[in-house]
Parts: sequence; structure tokens; C-alpha cells
Amino acid sequence: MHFFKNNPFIKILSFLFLVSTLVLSIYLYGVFQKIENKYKIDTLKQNELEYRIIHRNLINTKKDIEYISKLYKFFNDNNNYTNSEKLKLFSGNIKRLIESKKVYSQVRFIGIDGYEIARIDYKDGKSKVIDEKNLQNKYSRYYFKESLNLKDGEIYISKFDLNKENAKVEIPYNPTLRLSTPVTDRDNKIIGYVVINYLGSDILTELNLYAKDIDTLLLNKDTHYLVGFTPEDEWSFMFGDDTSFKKSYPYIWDSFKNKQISSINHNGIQFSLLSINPVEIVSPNRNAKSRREWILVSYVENEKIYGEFYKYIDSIKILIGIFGLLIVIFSYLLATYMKKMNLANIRMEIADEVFKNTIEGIMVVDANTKIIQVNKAFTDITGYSETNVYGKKPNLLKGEFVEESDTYKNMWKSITEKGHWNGELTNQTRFGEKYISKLSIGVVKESGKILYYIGVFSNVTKQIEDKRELERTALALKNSLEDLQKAQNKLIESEKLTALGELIAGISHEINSPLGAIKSSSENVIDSVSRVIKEVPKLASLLNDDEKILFEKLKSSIPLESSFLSIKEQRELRKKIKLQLDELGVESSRYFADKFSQFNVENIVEYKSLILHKDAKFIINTLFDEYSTISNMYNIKRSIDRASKTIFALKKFAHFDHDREGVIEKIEDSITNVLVLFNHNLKQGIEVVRKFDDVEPLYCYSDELSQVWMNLVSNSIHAMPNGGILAIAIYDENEYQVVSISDTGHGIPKDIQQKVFEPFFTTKKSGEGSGIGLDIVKKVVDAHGGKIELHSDTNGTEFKIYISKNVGK
Amino acid sequence: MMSAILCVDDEEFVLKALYQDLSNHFGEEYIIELAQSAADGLEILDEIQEDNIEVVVIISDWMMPGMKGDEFLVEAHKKFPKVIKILLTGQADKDAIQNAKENADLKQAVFKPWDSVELIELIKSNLKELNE
Repeated sequence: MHFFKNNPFIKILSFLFLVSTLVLSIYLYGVFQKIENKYKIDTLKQNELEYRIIHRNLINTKKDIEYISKLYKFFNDNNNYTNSEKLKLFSGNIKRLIESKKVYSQVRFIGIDGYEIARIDYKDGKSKVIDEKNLQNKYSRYYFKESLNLKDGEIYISKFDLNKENAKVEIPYNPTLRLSTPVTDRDNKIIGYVVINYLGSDILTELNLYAKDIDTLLLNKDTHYLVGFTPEDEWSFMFGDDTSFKKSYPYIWDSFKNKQISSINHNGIQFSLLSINPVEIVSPNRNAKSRREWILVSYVENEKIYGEFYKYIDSIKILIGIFGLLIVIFSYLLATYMKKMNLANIRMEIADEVFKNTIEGIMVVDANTKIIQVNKAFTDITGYSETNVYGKKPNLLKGEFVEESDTYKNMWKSITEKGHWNGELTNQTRFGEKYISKLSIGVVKESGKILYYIGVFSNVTKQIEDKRELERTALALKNSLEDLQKAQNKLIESEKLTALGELIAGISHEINSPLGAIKSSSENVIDSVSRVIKEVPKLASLLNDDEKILFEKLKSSIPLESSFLSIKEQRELRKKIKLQLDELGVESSRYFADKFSQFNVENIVEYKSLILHKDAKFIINTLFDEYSTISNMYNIKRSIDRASKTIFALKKFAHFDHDREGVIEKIEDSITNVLVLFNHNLKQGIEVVRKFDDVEPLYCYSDELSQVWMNLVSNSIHAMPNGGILAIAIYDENEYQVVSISDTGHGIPKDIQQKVFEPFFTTKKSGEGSGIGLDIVKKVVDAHGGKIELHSDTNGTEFKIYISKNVGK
Repeated sequence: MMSAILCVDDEEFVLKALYQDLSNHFGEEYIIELAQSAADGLEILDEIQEDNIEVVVIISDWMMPGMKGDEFLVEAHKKFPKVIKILLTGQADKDAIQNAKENADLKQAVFKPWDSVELIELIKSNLKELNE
């Protein structure tokens, strides 16, 4: 149904079809009515025609009977003839008359006693005067009896029936009307009656002659058929059959009864009935009693009407077809047009709704820049009502605010050149309130000429303020973020400082120890050098040549770098040498053993002569001073190396590269560096086990990685207050290099293992750490495309740090 | 009877520097013993006692692997209460110094970097005091 509802073509077509069908039906009904009416009129006319025929015939007959009557009277009153001559003359005239008329089968003159006086018969075109001897008395006949009631000039007319001969119906049927009229003598006394038999068949033939399209019945008073639908109907009443019209069509009969004329359509037949009083025609002055009635029924079957109607329809069917086609075409065109109109209407309605309900102010300005229409939003924004602004120029909206002249110039330029303009203007409401209007102007043109300017605007003051506020907020947020980042960096720095603080004890030792050694050694160098300067010349005088050679040999056998002997080894060496010296019986064996162990010279027997020399102590001392000079220098160098290493590690750690420039470096390097920093702390009962595979250098943020190791090593040291093993391993695993840092400490409780990577989570006392450590670790590892695995139980903790080999690629 | 001065420090260069310094000033009269840990130090103490050598001065570092300096001095004090005990440390741990003072009759805590002259003077003055 949807289709029908929304298809205007179908709608229109249906409507037009219904209307035209209705019109056509009415028209055809009219046509039908007309045809029907025509037939009705035709039946009426037919009746009239038939009536006239009957009338004419009856009048002719009347004239004839009157003529006959006068003829008889003429002869009767004429005394010039004998009675037989009179009769002979009369009969001769009548004979000729009826032969010429041919409608009278018998003409008689019957005396008042009922005896036939003259009788002329006519049959088959011939007339015959009946002999006197064959004349009969007709006194008892109904027509004679009826005739007796006639006054002079009156004419009797009989029922219309079949002629009977010897009380039997004459065959073939001989429909007969008898007319009679009195004949008077000179004294106006009735002497007899003229009786004529009128051949009814003549009148009936003539009736049928005119019944072509329309059939006509003739009924007698009892509606028996004189002319019937079929020959069988006719005259049946003569044989005792009671077939009659009123029996067959009682409804029609009832509606006609007592009327002169009637027309009715019933049972598929159009009937028109007309009553005829033949007595009135032939003898209008007779009394009403003598009234006789015939009824003419002209009828046409409706089928005939339909037939003509159908014929008519048939003749106009092409027209109907063309008309139908025209309706279809018209419907289509109308539907198309309506669709267009409808669309245009909808557009108009939409535009109107938009105009009315939009929250943006709209003003329509004509070519003379006069406002001609504004909407409600216009009033809401500007405060000016419709009546305030009609016919005014739009610049009244400016109030006291005037934009730079360029603004308006550009506006008009844009409107005239491009047909539109967008921008913001500062305006003032009717109540003096300033607002910023975001305005868009368009134009409606007709053949290149601007008809209207359409201005659409909204009050964007709040939006602009909001925008500014937002910008301010955004700026504030940006600053806050920067502050936060600074704070975060500070926090990281602070975390580092905390770690550094913890390290300071160790670090200062690490620095101060070599410093002390340097200081001491350098003073010793000065002492020993100054002593050597004094002693060497003296030594030369004390030694003979052999001793000098031996001294030089001893001197050259002393390894300058004596560090390959540990303190312990040196001590063992000293013990051995002392035993040798004791065996040699050397006094001050401990003293010499001490010096020789410093020289790292085990075979002292070779230098027995020097040891047993009377100035042995001076000689050995001088050598020791010489040796000390070098030895101290080495010690200074070693101390400086150590201090430098520590300082370097510290510097490396303290450095924080905010620009994050990666370097290609071995992971091992940053770990070693951190271990240097922790050197001091690790001395407190922690054994460091390193298992560094020889992995490739990789791209990393070395400084940040140092922080990772720093955090993890520091945590491990904290976890092992009573010492333990810190195992550090580096190895390759797929796309990662893995650094495993494990300790034998107290472990991390299960319930906080997940939390340790959260910022500010700490188990340390306040001041020991900010708790940001593992958070930094996680961030740094993330930055290296890596991951962290944590395994911890009461036997210790292992952190596995996975560093991607693909960072920076 | 011979006397000895014992130096304990885990850093070899410190021991070497101390050895040079002490042997320059006390080499004639005193044996200079060096130990790289407290454990070694205690061992040496026992050893030289067997050799009938008297330890008169102990100079010990504080921060060392294993036993810390103050603990070492406390141990040494138990056996050699008269020995002059000096802590030579890079970073003063107040608790440790206090411990050594109370339980080891610590004479002085000398901070690294030390001044040789001051250290020698300190030892000399204490030795003088001891001999008187």
C-alpha cells in the first residue's frame, strides 16, 4: 500500500479514473435514459399514430353510415318512386359504395320491427343485393336491441369481435365492427336503422402496418387481445379462453387503470398505454352509459434499448480509449508537475522553518540595502524587533562600534565579486550591549542583478571568550606540563642525588684514599730524591769495584713495577729472605729482609758481600731510596688512575643527557662503571660474580642505562645487609641482550612484587630513597624497547633486563 | 725486643704510601707490617707476637671488605690494650669512631687524604707518651 500512497501518478490516475468513470457513467446513464426516453416517446407516439388511424377509419365509417342513412331517408321521403324502386335505387347505390370502399362486408336497413328491409353483402371484391325472400328478422340480435335506444343522429358501435355465422365463428376469422344509426321520416320519426358491418381486419391490418420498430397491441375493455403479442393470443376470448393483458401484466394494468394514458417500464419492457373510446369518436353526444373502451398498448422490449445503447457505446469505444489514454498521460504529466511543485513546496517549507526556527539571526536586505525581513533569532540576538528594522539599513546593528574601514571595503568587494562574504563584526544590541557577530552574507541574483542580500549571523561572543579562555587554559596546561616535566627531571635528579648521597661515604673514601696515597707518596719522593742526591756520591767512596758491579746488578734486577706481588706475597717473600739472612748470620735480618722483599729479590746469597758490608745498611738504604723514588711515582700514578676512574664513573653517573642522544656502546661498560661507584659499598661482605658474555656493542642511552644498573645494584646491596653474592650476567637472547642482576638477599614479598614498578612506591625509610627508582628503570627499559622480568623469593631476587638490539635502527 | 707498626687497608697503594712514609721515619727501630684486610691484620698480630715482636701502633682503614676498621680495632684492643690505635678513614662514620673510642681506646681518627707530617707527628708523640 505504501507504493500507492506515495506514488502521485497512481493517486492522480486513480482519482481521474474514478471521476471520469463517474462522469462517463452519468453520461452513459443519460444516453441510456435518452434512448429509453426516446423509446418511451416512440411508444407514446406510436399509440398516437395508431389512435389516429383508428380515429380516421372510424370517422370515415361514421360519414359513410351517415351518408347511407341520409341516402335511405332521401329515397324514403321521395314520393316519386315506388317502394320497390326506392329499395332498388338504394341498394344499387350502396352496392357501388361498398364495392368502392371495400371495407364493409354488409350494409342493411332494418325496420323498427326488426325485419331486414334491404341488405347488401360484400365479399371478395363483389357486392350482392340480397333477395327479399332471404331477408330475416333480426329483432332479437344484440345490435338491433342496442340500436333501438338510439336517438336520431346517434350512432351505435358494437364490440370488436369475430363475425359469427349461424352461432359459429366464421373461419377465416372475420373481425367485425357493427355500426348502426336510426333513419327518420319527414316527421322525424324513426322508421328503421342502417346497420353496417365494418371489416375490422382492415383497421387491424393498417395498425400492424405502422408497427415497425415498436409493436402495438389492441385490447378490448376486458384487455383481451384483439392484436396480441402472438396470433395465438388474438381473439382467444371468443373461444372461452380468458388470456388477457391484465392477467399477464397486472402491475402495469393496475398503474394504468382509470387513466387515459400511461407509460411504464416493467419486466424488461417499455409499455405505453392509451385508452380509446370509439363511441365518443363516432357519436360524441351519446350518454356515458354507451361508453366502450379499447386500449392501445405500444411496447418495446428493453433489449432493444440496450441493443441501441450498446451500439452507441460501441460507436464511442475508440473515443473512450483515447480519453483513457489522455487521462493516463495527463495523470503522468500532472504527477510530474505536482512532484516538482511538491518538492518546491517542501523546499519552501523547509526554508521557511529554517528561517523561523534557526538559532542564527537572518536578515533579508533588498537591492537598496533596506531590511525587508528578519527572523526571531535576529530579534533574540540584536534586540531589534521586526518593526524596529523594517526599511532600515543593516548598519544600524553596528551601534557605536565601527570596524576598520578595510573590513567593510573587503566585505563589499567580496559580495560583489564572489557573491558571498564571511567574517566577524563587533556589533551592539538595541540595549547597548556589545557582541561579536559571526556573519555570513550571500546574495540572490536574477539575470546577474542582485535582488536580495541574505545575512546569517550568530552571536559568538561567548565562543570567542571561551576560545580565549581555552587558549589561556591550554597555555597554562602547557606550562604546567613543562613544570611537571621539569619537576620530574628534578625528581629524577633528586633520586640520583639520594643515591649519590648514599654513595658519598664510599665515594669520598674512594677519592680520599688515593688522594692520601698521592700526597704521602709525593712527599716521600721528595724525601727519597733529596736523600739519594746526598747518598750516591758517598756510596761511591764506600764500595770497591766488585761491590760497585754487584750493586749495579742488584739495582738492575729490581723490577720497577713491583705491583705484581701482593702485600701478602711480599710478606711471605720477606719471611723467606729473613730465614736466608738468619742462616747467613746477618744481623738486622728483619731489616734487610724487609728491603729485599720490597725489591722483590729473592736470591740474596748472590748479594751476600753487600749485605755483609760494614756499611750495608747505608748501601741498601741508598738503593731503597732510589727504588722508592720510582716506586712512589708508580704509586702516585696508580692512585691517580684509581681516583680518575672514580671521578669518571661519578661524572658519568651524575651526567644526565636530556637530549637523549644514543651511543653505540657495550652494555658491559655502563655496568662496570656503576660497579666502580659501588666498589666501596660492595666491600661490605658482598661478592660480585660477573659473567659477561662477549656481546656486540649496541645502540643505547648509556646514561640512562647507568641509572638502571645503579638502581638495581643499589637495591641488591640494600637487600644484603649481611653480605651475599651479587651475580651479574650479560648474554644474548634472540633480539635482546639480557642483563641479569641477582642477589642472595631477603627477596621482595610476593604481595608487593607488582607494585615495585609504580612511581613513589618504596619500602625504604624516608630519606633513603624517593621510591621513583624502579619506575625510572621501567621507563628507561621501555625506551630501549625492552622488558623486565622479576623473580623473587626469600632466597633472593633476580631482575632480568631485556634490551632490544633494534633500538635506534 | 723488636717493635712493629701495623697498617691495615684494603687498598694496596695506601699501604705502599704508608709503608714508604713509616719506613722513612720509623724504619730503623720499627718493623712495618702491612695487611690488606682486618682478618690479615689479626693474623699478623698473632704471628708477630709469636716472633716476640711487640706491636705498638695500629693504623687501620675503616671501610674494608669483611670486618670494618672499628671492629678490627676492638678485637685488637682485647689482645693488645696498650697498642696505639689510629683510624685512617676516607669517610667518617660517627658511630664507628664512637665505637672505636669507647671499645678500642682509639687515639685519633685521621681522615684521608692524610698529611704525612701530621700522621708521623701523631705516631711519634704517642710513642713518646707510651715510652714514658
